[in-house]
Amino acid sequence: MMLILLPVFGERFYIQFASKILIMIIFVSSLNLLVGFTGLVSLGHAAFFGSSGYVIALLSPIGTSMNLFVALLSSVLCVGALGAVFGALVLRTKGIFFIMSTLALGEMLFYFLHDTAFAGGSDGIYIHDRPGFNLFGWWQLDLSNVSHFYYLALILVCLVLMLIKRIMNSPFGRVISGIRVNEHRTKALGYHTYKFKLVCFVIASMIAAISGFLAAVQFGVVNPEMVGWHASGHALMMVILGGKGSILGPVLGTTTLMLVEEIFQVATKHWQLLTGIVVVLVALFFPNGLAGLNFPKKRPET
Amino acid sequence: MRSVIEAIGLTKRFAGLSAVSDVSLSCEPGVIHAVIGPNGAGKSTLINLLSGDLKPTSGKILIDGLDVTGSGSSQMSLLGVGRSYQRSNIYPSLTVVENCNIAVQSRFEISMRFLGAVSAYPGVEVGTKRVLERVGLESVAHKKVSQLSHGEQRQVEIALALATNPKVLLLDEPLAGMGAEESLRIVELLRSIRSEFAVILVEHDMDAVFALADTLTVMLNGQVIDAGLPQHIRSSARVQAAYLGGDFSD
Repeated sequence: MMLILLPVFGERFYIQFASKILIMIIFVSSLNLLVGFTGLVSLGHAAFFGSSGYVIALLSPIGTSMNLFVALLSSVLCVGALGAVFGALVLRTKGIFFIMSTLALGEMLFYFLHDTAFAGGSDGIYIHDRPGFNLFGWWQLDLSNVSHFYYLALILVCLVLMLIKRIMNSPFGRVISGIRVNEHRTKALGYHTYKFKLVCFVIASMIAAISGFLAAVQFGVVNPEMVGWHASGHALMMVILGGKGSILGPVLGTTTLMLVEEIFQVATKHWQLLTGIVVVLVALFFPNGLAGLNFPKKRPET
Repeated sequence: MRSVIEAIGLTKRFAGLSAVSDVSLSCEPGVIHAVIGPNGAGKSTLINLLSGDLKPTSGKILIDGLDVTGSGSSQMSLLGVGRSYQRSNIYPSLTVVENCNIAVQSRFEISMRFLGAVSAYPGVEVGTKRVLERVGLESVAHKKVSQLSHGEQRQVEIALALATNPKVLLLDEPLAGMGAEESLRIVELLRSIRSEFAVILVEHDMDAVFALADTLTVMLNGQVIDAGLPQHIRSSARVQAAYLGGDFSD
């Protein structure tokens, strides 16, 4: 209820900040699908977040605005294809080598965008005319309006969380849980686990594309930082803080970390030190993350 | 009757050591073929070769007369070879039902579906329920496997193998670490299902072996030293020598 009414009462800054949190929740949830549900720890997930922003920035025509659904769909599909290529490569490795190869591919993409003129180099690209949507001429969705943007982000967060919940209750979800807990046995039961991991990797990259799309459209700019490993690591921190392998975890982890960072940033120059202390404390005292707090009995992992 | 699974001259060498050398055996539907021998005889390696977990250095494996040598564990499973492991190899942090769901589902073409709930597929529900009834785990169906007793976890291990509807069942020490009462329950279970499968059973509990086996193969140092009916094995001098630690060739 509060979330729905926020744009009515909130100031512009708070609405924008809340939208930023919503975008991150989508991104962190997509990473959680890999890290928490499938057991694939990726340090290159921002590649999909950032490249989705680049897709929309490169596709956006100057002077007219693209249809929102066409724009979103093309971002998601392009990034899904990229996810299939990256996934096909990195999923041939396991454990620490998987982490390193996701990191390597992500960094390759970063330097490609940073050091070539193809997409604006280190400055990135501006999106002059944001995608919009016109409902039969009597209502216009305007994404430069902070409230419109906020509601779009809120709707997409709900859809993504519902989608992930459905995935985890589906036959496919059973198999990826099986892969997380015991891949060897899952193979021995007749599953070609590589195929399942690849499909999951592509789904996760497509969900990340939704968040990257929103992030690019919110401020109308994309830059190479969006694909860098810092962004991946930041999201991974939120997954762990919130509690991996829970639908609610990314919501709690993202909100907490972003609020804490914001508060410390206002308070002191050394905000990163303070944030670090908070993360360490949570990791020490709540090994199952913030989502493990209310129902500690539900997650007695062995 | 025609054998469902047949091994011909199966050999596995690990860096110079022959864990299994030139082993041949076969098993027909409705038959329990026990493989016995002292520790380190190569029994588990033999099971791992038959299940596709390991690839043989030489020799052949036939399923229904078809050469399937070199198939991996997931292919072997799809060909109808189900197995249990010596050390429980199950899903500890999932519930018993979820464990069985994963196994049952592997026989339906639905595992890539990610929108409908598992409960929307009656085949999976029915299959899971049936296998839980069979192994007697209905009462703990919704518990996490890690919360079960060792004996119950061993039952889950067997449930996973049964749930894939195999033709051949490879059981690697199903009674390992079990108390007398639990062992008895598993022996009863195996007796009740024996008619449907070709079972290859590796087991140390000789009471259970002789209560169940129709035919036996005895291994020592990777080789078959004797094979035959239970009464033959019981009186075999070579087998007695092997179990008493003597080298039978002396």
